[in-house]
Amino acid sequence: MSHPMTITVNNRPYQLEVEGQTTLLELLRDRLNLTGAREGCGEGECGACTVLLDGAPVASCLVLALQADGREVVTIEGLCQDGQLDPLQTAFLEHGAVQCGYCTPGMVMSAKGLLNGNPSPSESDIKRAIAGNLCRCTGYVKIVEAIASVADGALNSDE
Amino acid sequence: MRQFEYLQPTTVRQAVNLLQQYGDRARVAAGNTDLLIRIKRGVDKPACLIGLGRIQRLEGITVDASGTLRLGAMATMRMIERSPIIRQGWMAVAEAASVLGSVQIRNLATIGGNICNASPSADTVPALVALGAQVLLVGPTGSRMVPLYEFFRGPGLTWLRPAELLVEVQVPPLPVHAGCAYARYALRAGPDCALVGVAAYIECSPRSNLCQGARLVLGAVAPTVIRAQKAEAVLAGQDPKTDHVLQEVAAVAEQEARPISDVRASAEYRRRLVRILTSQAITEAARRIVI
Repeated sequence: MSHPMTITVNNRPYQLEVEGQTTLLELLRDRLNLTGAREGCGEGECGACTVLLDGAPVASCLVLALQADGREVVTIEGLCQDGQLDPLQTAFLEHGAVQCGYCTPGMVMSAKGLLNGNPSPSESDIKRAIAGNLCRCTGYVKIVEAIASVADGALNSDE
Repeated sequence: MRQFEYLQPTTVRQAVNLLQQYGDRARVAAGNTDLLIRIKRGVDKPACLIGLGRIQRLEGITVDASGTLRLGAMATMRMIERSPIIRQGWMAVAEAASVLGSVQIRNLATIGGNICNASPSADTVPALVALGAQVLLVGPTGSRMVPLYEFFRGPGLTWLRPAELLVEVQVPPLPVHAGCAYARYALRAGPDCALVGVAAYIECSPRSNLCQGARLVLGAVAPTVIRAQKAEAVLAGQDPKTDHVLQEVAAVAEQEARPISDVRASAEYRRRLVRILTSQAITEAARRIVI
């Protein structure tokens, strides 16, 4: 049975009918053609499906679409404004924090979630924030550097 | 994913009615971070999920007039981890919530779900038991309060009755001259299941600094969370900051653990961890006592 729902994705409101078992990730990819969020493990371990739900990073493969009814989602596609990359995206490019790219959208969204709540994170804050995002290419060092470079006043030293 | 209905009641009463109506075919759906994995893997095949996300009564983190912390069943790990109220008064609970899973999971996973899944390695349970938490359960015939320590029957099993819902967790205020802490160890530094978790609650006499009440709670070393009551008895009347006391208490706790060997660690390794983590948790709890 389908249920009506409304959702705002990247500032755009949608009215949809979805089935109970449809995940938020499926809604984004299959219905809205927003394929930046990926399905890696499908069990919330890898972080490739990370999006912001009401500003907070979540594993969209473990969120039912109906749980997001009336709420606001931001995906990697929503970071780019008027053709301008988000400073985080630019930093990932400049620091060589992207290799195969599969983890990148999720990694950037986790970083975005961190910086939204904590504009001046320490290195350990950054590592904790991306602990749920697996990357098999980079070894993480470049990713941490990229995120640190856009933090307010660059990087704070750990206490 | 296998097809199911997702129902979203707006009151506890409606949820209980739906649970009665659907019986075994329904599952309570809180944060969904464990339930959806079981459904995806095909180990659970419910016809219907009863989503709790629209029930106002299950939201919120408050302190009542008696100083008791009241955690709505739908409070997420992330809310608990970041709550200034909890960090100030019940630090072990914030600590336990902060080590569970990744940020993406903690933004979804709920306290009610962590408890009702009844995993022996659930991080929040030892901390809550050490603090003397109770759970408020509401069912078709009314409500009841159950000490959290008596809520578990075995791995994945609780004493919830049919169509009963966990509505709230209540944690009494920490007395003056008391401290609590949660220490855990997992193989990976990031999101990983606890091999062993130990929570300590220590209450000292204001005059002598000697322990006059303790609860030591071990997670992931028995079918349910267990209290190391012999170790608690050893602490009574002693100074928890003294090395030889710590060593003896930790050794007794190690003997009280009944771990299994599995893919993550051997029973022997887990027992050894109990000793180390017990000592760490007591030391931290004692350090937090404001003299």
